[in-house]
Amino acid sequence: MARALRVLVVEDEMMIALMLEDILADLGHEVAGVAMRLPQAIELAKGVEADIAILDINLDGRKSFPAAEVLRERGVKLIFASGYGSPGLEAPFLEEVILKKPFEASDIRSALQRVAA
Amino acid sequence: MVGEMSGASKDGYLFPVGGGECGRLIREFDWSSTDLGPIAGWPGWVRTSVDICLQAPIPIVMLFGPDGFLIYNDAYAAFAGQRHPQLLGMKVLEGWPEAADLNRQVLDTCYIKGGTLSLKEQPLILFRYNNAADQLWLDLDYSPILNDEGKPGGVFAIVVETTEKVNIQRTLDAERIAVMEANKRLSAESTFLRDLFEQAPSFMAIMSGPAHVFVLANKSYQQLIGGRNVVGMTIRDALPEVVDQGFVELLDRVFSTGEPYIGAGSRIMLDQTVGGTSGERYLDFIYQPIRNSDGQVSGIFVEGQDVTERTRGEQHLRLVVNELNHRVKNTLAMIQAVAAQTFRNAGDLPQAQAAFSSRIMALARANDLLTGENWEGASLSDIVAGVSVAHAGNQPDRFTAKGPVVRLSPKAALSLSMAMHELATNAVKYGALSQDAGHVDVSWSLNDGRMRIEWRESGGPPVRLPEKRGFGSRLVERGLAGEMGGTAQIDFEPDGIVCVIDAPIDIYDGAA
Repeated sequence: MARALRVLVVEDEMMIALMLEDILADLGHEVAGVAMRLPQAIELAKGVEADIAILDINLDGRKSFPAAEVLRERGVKLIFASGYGSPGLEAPFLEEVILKKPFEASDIRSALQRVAA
Repeated sequence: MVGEMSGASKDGYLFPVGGGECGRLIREFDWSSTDLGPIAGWPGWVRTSVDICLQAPIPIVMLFGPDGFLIYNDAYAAFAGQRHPQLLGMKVLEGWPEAADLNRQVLDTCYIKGGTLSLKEQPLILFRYNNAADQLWLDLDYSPILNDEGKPGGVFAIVVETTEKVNIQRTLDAERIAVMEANKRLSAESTFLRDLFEQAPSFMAIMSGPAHVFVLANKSYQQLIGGRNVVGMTIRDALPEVVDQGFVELLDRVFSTGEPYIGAGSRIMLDQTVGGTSGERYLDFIYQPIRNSDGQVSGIFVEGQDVTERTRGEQHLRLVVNELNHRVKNTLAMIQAVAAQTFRNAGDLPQAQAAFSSRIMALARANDLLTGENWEGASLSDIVAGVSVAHAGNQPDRFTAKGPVVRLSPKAALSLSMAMHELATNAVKYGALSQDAGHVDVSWSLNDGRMRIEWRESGGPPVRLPEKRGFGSRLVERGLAGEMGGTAQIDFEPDGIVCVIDAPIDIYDGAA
């Protein structure tokens, strides 16, 4: 088991957010916070104590990049999740790890390993 | 002797003098069988007439006496063809039987009545060569020859053949008519082509030279560019807005390479377009080089169709298909998450299967509700009514809903439906709806930009605090709260469960 990470979840679909919480718990990590909409995500990003954030690119029709900017400035590593038919990565995040939906526990584990390495 | 040398008449009389071949023939002819009698007895007026006739350079024939005995000169002999020399000294009606009608008229008018007759371009058919019919035209001038008593003794006729002139005139007339008809046909063709060009449903224009000067632009083209008159102008002056859109470079390339360019669904921004409005159009078009007779490109033919409506339709369709695809996959992801959650927290398999099935049904109901609203959202009362029908369908009085009209976004509507499904399922199993007297009252109110929804159960069995919070509680308190951007709390009050949801009406209000 890798070391426990503090992970922020930014995901607009409540069922998927809850599933992500469970998967992270199963993998032995800690959920540092959950945000489902952009304003909450930005607010949370400013103060959260997290190693890594998993951000859905599309949050109820809005892009999550403003929250990602705050997180990157604070040294939080990023994993983007791409929803169906939602836009792809944009500068300055083009090199970031991307997690394609639908995902399973193993996808989350390998994405976290790549980013945490 | 001299007379014989120069062809004196048979009786040695030397008349007429000279007169070429006809002069000689007259001298040699035996005139005694004619009305004129032997040549030696010809009166002065006859001899004078004959002299005038023979000396004249134009064809002259004279008809003597009532039968019109013929005397003519060499010029006339040439006109008479093979009928000469037999014709000399014959009666006119016998000499020219094919012209008997005309000559009867001549004798009547000039000889009998003493008048004159002038016929211009008189058509006649004569048999002058090899007994073949010969169509000719003649200018004929007849006048009487007066005898010593001042009475007509014969007819003097000047015969000018105008056949060649008439034929030339006829050819010219025919050519003129042919040219006129050709012109008419060309004009009709050109009108037809111009109409075709003008009325063609596709837009067409012709540009000339390296600066692309408009020579022609049809109605559809003019309509496309908002009725602007461009003929005589360069493309840069006529349609300045297209210069920076690459179309002039394309025209330049077609002009210099001679290769046509085909554009499919090309987007163009026009300052003025259909109906006088400006904006975006999509065009299928071709730039076809026009070559002159030397093979050099001299201009460009532009033809195409405005496919804006079709393109927008296709774009809309693509959008709809993408949206549908997105929704289907989102729904599948939701189902994946519902399955993961349901089976993870399951006590036993049959129970989990029932819970899963009923959650999928709740999702399907929420989908139906949103589809009915074209996925633009749903009203809170419709969401509550859906939950009521599903869980207390045969006892509607046990489930009341009260509150003002509130519209929720599709995502909020979906989440609230799922959350209320969890609350209602719990109420049926353990709460107010598990007993006959139990009651659920849902009410909501709006205040200061916030919405407060209360789910209150009563009349059920005594509530006891659960040993562990189940999936339903988590879904409401974590999931729904997050989706609504507010708080959701479940209280296990003694009279029944109370769930209060407090959220901004517009969660983006005042936010970035």
